[in-house]
Amino acid sequence: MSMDVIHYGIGRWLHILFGMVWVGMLYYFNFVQVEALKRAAAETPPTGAGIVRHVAPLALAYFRYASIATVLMGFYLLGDRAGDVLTFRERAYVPIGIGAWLGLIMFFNVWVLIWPNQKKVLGLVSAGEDEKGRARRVAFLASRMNTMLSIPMLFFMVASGGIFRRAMFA
Amino acid sequence: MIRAAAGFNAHGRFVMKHPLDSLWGTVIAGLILTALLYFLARKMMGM
Repeated sequence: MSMDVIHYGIGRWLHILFGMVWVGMLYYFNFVQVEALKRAAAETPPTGAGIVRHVAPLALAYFRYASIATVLMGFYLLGDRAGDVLTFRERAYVPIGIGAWLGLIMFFNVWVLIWPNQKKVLGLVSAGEDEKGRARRVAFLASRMNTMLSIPMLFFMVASGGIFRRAMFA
Repeated sequence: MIRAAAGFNAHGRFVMKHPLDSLWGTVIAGLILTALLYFLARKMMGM
């Protein structure tokens, strides 16, 4: 098996696979869980405890570790051209460079804004009610921002190669 | 359910809903950002 097969074949496959887990969980939170918890909270008595206690921590674990695996595989794919891509050194690097920056902003949001605040919301670290309320809001908006950024991120990842790139940037 | 994007709160203060509070607002903002970045990318590529 040649190094190209491992690097660009299996490497790209794993990058996309981990990315699907990451963005899939992100979409689960935004399209399903937020609405489900809202409906559960409106019931008497509220019925969302099981989601918060059993589903959310597990989904968050897949979400954040998939983000690490995705970014690591992304850098593995870029190899020694990572610096050139992130600084748009060549014209051909612009689409993948924009996609990579969007992915890195999303990664920052996961580990700096979403996860530390979700730990307070889920009671994994101690926090007062006010602090929990603020944490919930920050985590929610960062998660929504990642959902927004995922749309152009996926566009530029797809647009970085093959016939899609020729169609969009020829 | 569709809610107003802006209005007056209980204290009579005018408040605007954050665009990211709405799922559709989030998706539409993502699509607009995609279009803006696409034209920016073309410009950066000298097209």
